[in-house]
Amino acid sequence: MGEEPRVAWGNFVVIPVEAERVVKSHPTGVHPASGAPGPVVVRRRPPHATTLWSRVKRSPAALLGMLVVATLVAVAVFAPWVAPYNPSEQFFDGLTLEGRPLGPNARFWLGTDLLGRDLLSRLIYGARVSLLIGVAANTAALSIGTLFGTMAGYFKGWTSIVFMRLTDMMMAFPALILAIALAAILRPSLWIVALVIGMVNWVWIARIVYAQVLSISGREFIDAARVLGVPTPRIFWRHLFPHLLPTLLVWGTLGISTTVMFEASLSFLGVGVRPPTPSWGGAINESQSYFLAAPWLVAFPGIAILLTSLAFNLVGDAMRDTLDPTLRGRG
Amino acid sequence: MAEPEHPREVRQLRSRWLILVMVLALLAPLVAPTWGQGRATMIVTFKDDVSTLDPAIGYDWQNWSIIKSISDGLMDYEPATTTLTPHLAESYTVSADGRTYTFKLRRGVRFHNGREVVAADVKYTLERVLNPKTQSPGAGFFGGIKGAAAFSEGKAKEVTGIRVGDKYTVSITLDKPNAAFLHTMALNFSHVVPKEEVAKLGADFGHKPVGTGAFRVKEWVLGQRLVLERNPSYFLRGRPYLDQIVFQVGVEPNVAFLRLQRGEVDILGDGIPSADFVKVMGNSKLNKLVAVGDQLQTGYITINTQVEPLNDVRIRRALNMAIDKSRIVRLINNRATPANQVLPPLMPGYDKDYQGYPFDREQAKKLLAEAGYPSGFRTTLYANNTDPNPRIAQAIQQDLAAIGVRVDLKTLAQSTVIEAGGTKGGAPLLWSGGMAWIADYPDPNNFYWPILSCAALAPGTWNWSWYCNRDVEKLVEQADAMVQPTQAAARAAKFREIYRKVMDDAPWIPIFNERRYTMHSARMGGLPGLFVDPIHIPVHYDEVRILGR
Amino acid sequence: MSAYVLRRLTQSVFILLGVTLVTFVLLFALPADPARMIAGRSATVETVTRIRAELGLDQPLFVQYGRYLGRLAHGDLGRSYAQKVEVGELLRSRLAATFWLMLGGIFFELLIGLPAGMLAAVGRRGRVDRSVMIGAFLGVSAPQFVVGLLLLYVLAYKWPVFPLGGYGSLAHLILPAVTLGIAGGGWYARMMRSAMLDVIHQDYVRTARAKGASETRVVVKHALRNALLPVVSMIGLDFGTFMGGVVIVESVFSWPGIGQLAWQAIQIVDIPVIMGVVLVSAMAILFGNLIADLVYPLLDPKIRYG
Repeated sequence: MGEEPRVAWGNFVVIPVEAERVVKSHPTGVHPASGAPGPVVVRRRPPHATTLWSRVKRSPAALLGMLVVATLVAVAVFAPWVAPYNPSEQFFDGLTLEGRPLGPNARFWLGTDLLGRDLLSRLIYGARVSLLIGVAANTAALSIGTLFGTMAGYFKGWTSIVFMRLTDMMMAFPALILAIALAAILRPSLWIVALVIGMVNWVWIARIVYAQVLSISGREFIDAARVLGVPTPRIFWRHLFPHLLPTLLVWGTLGISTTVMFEASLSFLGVGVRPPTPSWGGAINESQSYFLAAPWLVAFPGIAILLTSLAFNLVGDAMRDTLDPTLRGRG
Repeated sequence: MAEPEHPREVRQLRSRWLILVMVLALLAPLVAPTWGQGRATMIVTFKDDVSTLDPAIGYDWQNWSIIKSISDGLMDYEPATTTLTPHLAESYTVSADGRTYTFKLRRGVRFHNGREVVAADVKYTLERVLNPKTQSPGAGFFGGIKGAAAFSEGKAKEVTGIRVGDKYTVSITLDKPNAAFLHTMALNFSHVVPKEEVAKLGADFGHKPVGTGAFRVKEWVLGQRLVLERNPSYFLRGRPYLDQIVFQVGVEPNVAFLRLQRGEVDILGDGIPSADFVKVMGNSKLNKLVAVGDQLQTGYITINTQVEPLNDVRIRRALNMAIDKSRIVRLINNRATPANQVLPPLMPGYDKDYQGYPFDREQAKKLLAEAGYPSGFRTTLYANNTDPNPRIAQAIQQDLAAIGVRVDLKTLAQSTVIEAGGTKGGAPLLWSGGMAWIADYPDPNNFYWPILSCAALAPGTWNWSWYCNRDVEKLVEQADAMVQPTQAAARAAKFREIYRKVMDDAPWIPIFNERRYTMHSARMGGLPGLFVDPIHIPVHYDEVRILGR
Repeated sequence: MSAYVLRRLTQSVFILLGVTLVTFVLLFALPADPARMIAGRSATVETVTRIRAELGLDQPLFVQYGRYLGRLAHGDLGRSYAQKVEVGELLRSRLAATFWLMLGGIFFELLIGLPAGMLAAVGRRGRVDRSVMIGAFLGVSAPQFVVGLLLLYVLAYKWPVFPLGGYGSLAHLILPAVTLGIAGGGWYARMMRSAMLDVIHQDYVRTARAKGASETRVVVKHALRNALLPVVSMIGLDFGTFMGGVVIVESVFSWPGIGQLAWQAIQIVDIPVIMGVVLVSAMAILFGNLIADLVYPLLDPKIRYG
């Protein structure tokens, strides 16, 4: 028979066949190479043996990303053993006689903050708050947003209207005021911060996903799947999701930075962690105006946030390559 | 060059000229003339927009002095001092029983609209403040005038205690003698306003105020700038020195500081940004431009006497002994001096010899044990969330932890903290920074009645300690009755006694008295004291000048 | 299409009503008393009570909300508690500045983000791609206050190329707009890159390539069109968020925008101003999303609204 031209469309393989061998056919099939209409069989590609780990192993960048993430998580978990000092201890000689913080020196490797506390210890303990919020809250927002955007973009009619208008309403809603109200009523905790962020941040991704789902829903292979009777959840998971994955990864990684800074604003309003609990965003927030006089106070927490989001990005890229079959065999 | 023949070249040439013109347009503002060329113009920066210039309503530290330059009251203070002097009034007499004050107005003082000021204007002004429709924050200051309460409740059509004699004489009768009454006649709330302008402008009067002051409003662009211009017919000859003042609003302190160094700004209205403070004071060129003075201010922690276990005076004294005030002062770059009593040093009645509670952790722990809390207890500290208050609150937290008192911190928006303080049992401990008491007038009773008296106790009070000592209250009432100038020394002594008693009860932990640091440009002239005038904050606008003009 | 727009506008009215109601309720749940804030610290209880009565704050919630809606129907947004100026006037005084900053911000976001994203997609996994990625993350992670202050310090203070903040000319707009562009450009770059990559490896592009079209035209025509979809979504979102005010950039550059007004109003619980800003901001968000929705079918003809 020879090499049949096979073309990949997402997770499908389109194989043109001789008329006699048709078992199930897509009535409006088009020969992928010649463009001529004809019977084709749309069959699911057998799952490839590639796993995330083998993918990561081959890419030095992804390996680096995983290493950084693992280190950060380990540092956060084992903070009491890793940190050189108590993060809340205000050292009498941690400030100059005029009350200025100290730059990096032998005793305080990253310098001290405006209360004479060791910045390195604060960053280590701060990883707990910032990693949790940056990753968990961001992922929650991502999930809710993807759900809303997909529901609104895939289904027509009332479903779409309801989901999109709900999204619009949440977007128009003043989250800041909600945060202040919550701060006064409830006992501040990390869960409230995660809640507020989850409630607020999902609207952006919902709009983006909505537009993309609208576009993808119009493509032929979705029609193909629908006609073949593939159940809707499977369509979502196997056919829509791989095309949304690149977008989700962008938001999942860049979003870590913005979520960490958002947590800082919420803590400023009294919703989140209470002083003296350290967080990376909080460290930046309280020393922003000292940027020209004491740049290390902003630079080191900023670098921590940057490294975290970059590391997740590297891992995410590897994850995306694994799940996107069209990229298999590419560099 | 050769004449362009091809149409495309012509288009390219034209677009190049277009680009050149656009670039020039972009750069134009840099070479544009600066404000008020040829006139003595002072530029002041503020972060917040100016709220209102209606003397009956304006009550934030920013518009307080601006209003003083637009309108005037019967009394005022000598520049850079806390000494009362007649202002719109030429002279005054006090009746024998101390309850009636008769003022003789200066003649020929004109409002900005040209009309002469008469005694009827004084009566109108005070009744306007007492009228609930005006929503004046200052109504309470004049509640002691006979007939004021009936007027405010709508039971009377006028305040019977204010009587207009002849065209230039007005007399005010009080229910009880009040030694601080003349100070209230210097407050902005009593600044005289013309009835016809208020009627004409209604609620917009705060935006287009008319008064008798040294300046009048020339232009007000909301959110950007307020421009005042000299009043040529001001009744004090030779004042003001400046022709124009421009208040630029919405300017971040760090940026204002950069502008000052470039010579674009004359006064930093919000002060030297804390990030640059040490640098400025350490630089010999820059610290010449800084005027330093004291304020009528105390920063303190209020201890809620209604909350367990803080209702035990021994615990409150223990807390007083636990705080390392010099370390806190260091946190704010030594911009303050540690305080040991309620009154600030500038205030008459300040007790130079009073020692206060020493910083003694061991003694504090002993007192705690005596009161039945040998291993300490848990409580909550509220603080404002603007820098440096969260830092100070954390320093307090660490100091209290050292004697076993575990403090939960709540750093919230100012309005929320104020609300918590004003709720009975709401805020066990409250750091007053950012909301700390600055005296309305330089009299010791102003530190008592609003924030430490039984009379002030009600939901929403500013007496956040919910402190009430009837004996002390009686002493203050007696002191307020000492109206005669000859009794001034005795009155000061009485207040020293009063505040000693208050400190014995320890409803507060006084922490520091902030000093004022006003940075100005090199071309500003005038006595340094004018730049840190205790009454006119940040500077006395009527008295400062530009050198060489 | 006009039927669709009409439907959307009707829905928007309901959404705005819902937002005002929820905001109103929230503001009253706030443990802060505007009457007390106005009365100030030396006020007696009587003064506070009278002020509260004057402002109508002692009425039950639904009465106050009803009154608010009634005034709103006449275009009366009330007067600021603190400044006694009409809220409409306050908003108008800041609208133009907010609008220009929004335009400038989006302009620089696109100027920085789109070319960077395209270059990254074309040079996939190469040095360009990596540098664009690091640049994007750096821009997004850097706090706006710091970026703004740094730009001011270098380009307005050390070398007086631009004015030190303020409002009034194009020169004043550049630095704040660039600050917004740096903060948001990274998003556009990454989205552009990922959307283009998604399509570059789509098979119809491979088909087109097999037919002999040159590489660049393939990239530009097919990939760009698909990538513009999320970009347009983000522009719509940015329109809404920027028109609601960007308080940090406005503070640093002394830009008289709505963000500063909102922030000040929230501090002192100036309810009429807060309601006014929320209304304007909500309208801008709904408008931005509507425009984006109207543009989608132009980019992808297969998109139709049922």
